[in-house]
Amino acid sequence: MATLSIRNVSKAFGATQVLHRIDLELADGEFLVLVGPSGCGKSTLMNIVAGLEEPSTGALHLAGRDITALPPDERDVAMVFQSYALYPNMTVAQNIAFPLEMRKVPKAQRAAAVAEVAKMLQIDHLLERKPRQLSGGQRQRVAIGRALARKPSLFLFDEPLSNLDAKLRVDMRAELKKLHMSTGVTTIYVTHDQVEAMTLGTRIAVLKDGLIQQLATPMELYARPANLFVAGFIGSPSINLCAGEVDAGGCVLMAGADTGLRLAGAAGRRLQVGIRPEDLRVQAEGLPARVTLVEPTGAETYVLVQGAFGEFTVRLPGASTLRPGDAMALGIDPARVHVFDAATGLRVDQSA
Amino acid sequence: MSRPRLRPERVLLYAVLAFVALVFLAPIYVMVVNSIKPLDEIRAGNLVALPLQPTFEPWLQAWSQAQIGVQATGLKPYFLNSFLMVVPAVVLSTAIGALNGYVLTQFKVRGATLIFGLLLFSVFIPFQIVLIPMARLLGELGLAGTVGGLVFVHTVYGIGFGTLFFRNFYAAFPPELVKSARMDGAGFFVLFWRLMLPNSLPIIVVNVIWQFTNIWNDFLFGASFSDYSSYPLTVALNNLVSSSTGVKEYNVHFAGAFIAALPTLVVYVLSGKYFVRGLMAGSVKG
Repeated sequence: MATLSIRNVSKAFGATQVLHRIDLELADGEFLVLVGPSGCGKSTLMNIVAGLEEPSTGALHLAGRDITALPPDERDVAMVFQSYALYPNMTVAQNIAFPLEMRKVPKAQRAAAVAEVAKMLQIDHLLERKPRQLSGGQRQRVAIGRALARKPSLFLFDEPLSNLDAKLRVDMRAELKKLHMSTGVTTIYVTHDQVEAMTLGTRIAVLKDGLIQQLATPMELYARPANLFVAGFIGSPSINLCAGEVDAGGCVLMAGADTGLRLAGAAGRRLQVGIRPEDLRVQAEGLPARVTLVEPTGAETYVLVQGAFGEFTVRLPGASTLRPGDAMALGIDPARVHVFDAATGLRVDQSA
Repeated sequence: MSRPRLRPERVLLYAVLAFVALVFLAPIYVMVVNSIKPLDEIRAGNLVALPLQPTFEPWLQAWSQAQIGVQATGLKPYFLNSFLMVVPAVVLSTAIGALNGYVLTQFKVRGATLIFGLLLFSVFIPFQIVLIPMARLLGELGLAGTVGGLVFVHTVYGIGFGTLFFRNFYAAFPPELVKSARMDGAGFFVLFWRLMLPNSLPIIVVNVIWQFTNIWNDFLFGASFSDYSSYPLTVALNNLVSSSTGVKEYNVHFAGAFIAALPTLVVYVLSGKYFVRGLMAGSVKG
């Protein structure tokens, strides 16, 4: 049972507060993704869990053991770095065996562990090579292998796929997910890539300015973003946003047009209305708009349209016959409209 | 493979390069040519001419027969002195410099910048200033007039430059490697010995060449802190050349000077490519 609990963890570098009272509880076997823009504190939080930085306040418990004051190597935590951090002077086999060697594991056992990991990651034919003789994807596997060989209670991944090219990244992503399913080791994964976050995480914590904006399952995060930041950060193409307000009758208006949504007892409240590109329909009657750009991607087509609401992206399945300059009308499903308070940016729950 | 046409600017370029090479090589040519001439050919006046009767007698003279100290021993024992001085001094100053650089960059040392600044300052202290205090110190340590004393002086002087080289090299060392090794369980010396040093070859070579050349060629400390039994080669060469008895044996002097220059030449040739690479390290990738 390796649960991780992060309680009340803050970190300040001088006067700069990087993390504000972070609380996170990871269940055994959970795959938690920390996602956020650069400078949001996700890497700092990772380093604190790894023991490479000390928290200013708060405590960490791994499998019930207080690890707050322990040095990195006594925490039973393994980390995979963005740059892979393979030791250039050692062969692949020596790299994988290094953490075991440091723990004084007997030689025969080390060799067995290296062989087992190499087989699992299909790098057995590379064991005698030096890191510089490997491709990016192979280096990544070795780095994962080195972390695996220790059989840690907790895995940390610091943007492990961001140095790979697009195709390899998708492959490695799937492999990481399979690996997690087969080993079941509790994992924290840091990324700034929202697709990685959505596909890999059992839960996702969205961080911004050292605060957790939302902690939820990927689908919950997508379907019910807690605030404007999360709504804008998760989803590609991003959510369409437009200023709106509630009229005297409780109708939510967007650029003067009725969205069909009702908010009781909130007359005059200023809002931001968000609609995901796939939730917009092209139909005969609706919000008038004009096509400004058509972007076919193959499986679907992104159509940029201009209207009283500003510029929206519409995501249509398959090919589209629309051309720039075409006049059209947009239909909205009120159940799929996200409403946020204009002042606080927080989600406003709708009374249907 | 098609040969590019030789354009005028290429020709000019090669001409300039050839001229510069000639300027640098001319003294070596003169040394070599005259070191294998009988003395009367030199006396005849033509320094640049090739020898009519080549002989290696001057080299043998310089190496093992010339009168330098009380006995006619040639440069041989002093060559050995220089080696006994340069090898430990280079090894020690490189080791201490590497360790300093490692500590100053990879650990949070209070006042690291100040300590580094002071060490850097030691690089700029002229040799002459420390002569008298150092003589006193060597006396106290019982090292006055010994090869051990010279090793001590050169090691101390080498720490400043060694620290400068290694600190700058390790400042650009990938921090993730160090973090990774710490998480894997490497302690202070294991991290240094197994990760930092094996990946420091370019800067080790730079430091070795630098220290070797400086220590081997040093004259002032050698002349100040050694006696007739512990003279380094530079001092012995000076004694050979400036001895006032008898005729000036220029051919032997040339040979002796060449013997004194050979080891640094060998060090450069063997590790020159690392030297350039090491000096450039960090300047491009930052």
